[in-house]
Amino acid sequence: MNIDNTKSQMRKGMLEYCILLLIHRKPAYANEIIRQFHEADMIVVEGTLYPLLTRLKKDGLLDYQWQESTQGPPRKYYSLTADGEEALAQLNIIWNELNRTVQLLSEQEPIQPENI
Amino acid sequence: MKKNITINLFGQLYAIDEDAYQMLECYLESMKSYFSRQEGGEEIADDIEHRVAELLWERREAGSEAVDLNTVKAIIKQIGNPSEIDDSESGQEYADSNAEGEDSLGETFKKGAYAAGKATKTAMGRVKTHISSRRFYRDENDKILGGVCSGLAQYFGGQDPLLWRVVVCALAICSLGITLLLYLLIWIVAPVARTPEEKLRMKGMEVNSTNLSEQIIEDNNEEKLPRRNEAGQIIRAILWVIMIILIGLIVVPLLLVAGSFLFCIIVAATIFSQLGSSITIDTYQHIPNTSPFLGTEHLWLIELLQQSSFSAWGFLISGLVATVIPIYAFIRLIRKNPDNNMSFGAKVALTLIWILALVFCIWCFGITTYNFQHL
Repeated sequence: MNIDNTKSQMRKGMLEYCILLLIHRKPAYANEIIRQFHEADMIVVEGTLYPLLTRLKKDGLLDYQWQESTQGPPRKYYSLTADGEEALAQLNIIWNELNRTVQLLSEQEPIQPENI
Repeated sequence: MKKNITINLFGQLYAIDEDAYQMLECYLESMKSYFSRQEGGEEIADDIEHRVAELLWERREAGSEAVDLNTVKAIIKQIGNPSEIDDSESGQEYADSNAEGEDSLGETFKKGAYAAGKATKTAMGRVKTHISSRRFYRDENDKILGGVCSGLAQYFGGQDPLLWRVVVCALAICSLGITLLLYLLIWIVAPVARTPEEKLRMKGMEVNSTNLSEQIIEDNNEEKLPRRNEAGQIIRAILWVIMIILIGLIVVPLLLVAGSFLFCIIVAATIFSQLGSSITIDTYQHIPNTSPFLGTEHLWLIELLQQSSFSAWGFLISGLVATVIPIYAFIRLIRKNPDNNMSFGAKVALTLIWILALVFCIWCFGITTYNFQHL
């Protein structure tokens, strides 16, 4: 098994959910999301975020507003739409289920060979 | 010492070294061309340009005066190359393999599982992308005439274009110029590798920031040292001589014949069309007054004249088109203007029009001569 590959696949699957979680807390622009993800070691290259944001926007989960910035170019502030909130609620449920399954499986004691 | 230029990114000015600028430009261009294939791709490229501007701003705030090559390299490494960024490939295939109406919310999680299953195929995929990323370009940096042979050498993997040149020269002499016509065709149709990205594709190398930066540096060195050896000079001279002889032997007589032919046809067509119409008016005016026998006797002649004038005009116009297009192509070839390159589609369209005109011209010519013989 290729650990790196599995890791990147897991991360990829999580990214959209994490973006929704982050923006749910407060509207954010790309740089803030990138900074948070860097801290959590979620993304390797920053660019990964942009196609995701564009897709989420296209799916109607996100919306954005341009805001002028005194530090650099204008920024796109992303916020959740009603659809986005709903999607997030459903993803929360799915995540909890997944989490519980993993928890359950990992808590099981390894069975000794003689007991089989 | 390096030349420095100023760029405007979203209303902010940045001083940037020339080589760094080239690299940044080609990075943003490759983003645009990569994402232009997908919906909303322009927006992604624009977002990335904004991010670049932001990072440049941060660096300037931190006190760096001018943007140099290393800064740009670091920024590209931070943001990533198009292929690293893009996740739509697996997403696309996933969507294709699923029926519509699938809940898009669960997709995120399922995609992970799907992609993991796909991982076994990536080894095969890598081989495929290596082949598909290789494109045929003419190599202007190593050219004798049009860089076709060096392009062929790059495309088929042979490092030294000399072998190709010798083969092409030998074939050109043996085949009495047919190979050279083929060469001319490739010269006209195939594009030149200009940007560093195209040069990487020509060599079949992956387009990423490391290769790009190396290519840019290589380009800068190459401009100072033009590559042309003595063998190349000799082959160049031989090819030019053959080409001039070829043009003298084939193209000029062809043009002369076509020109004199056109002239004859113009004269014939005008005479006949006037004659034809005058007879038409004459006869139709006389039909009620003359005997039916005389009328029918005249009619077949009129028809023939009208027909021959139609085919003559068809021959004239299609012949003109068939002559003008190669002349235009030839003029373009001689005065190659890099800023005004004809698109591939236009070339194909013109070639098709030319072939059609030629066929039509020959057909009309056949009818015209047939009619003349039967007059």
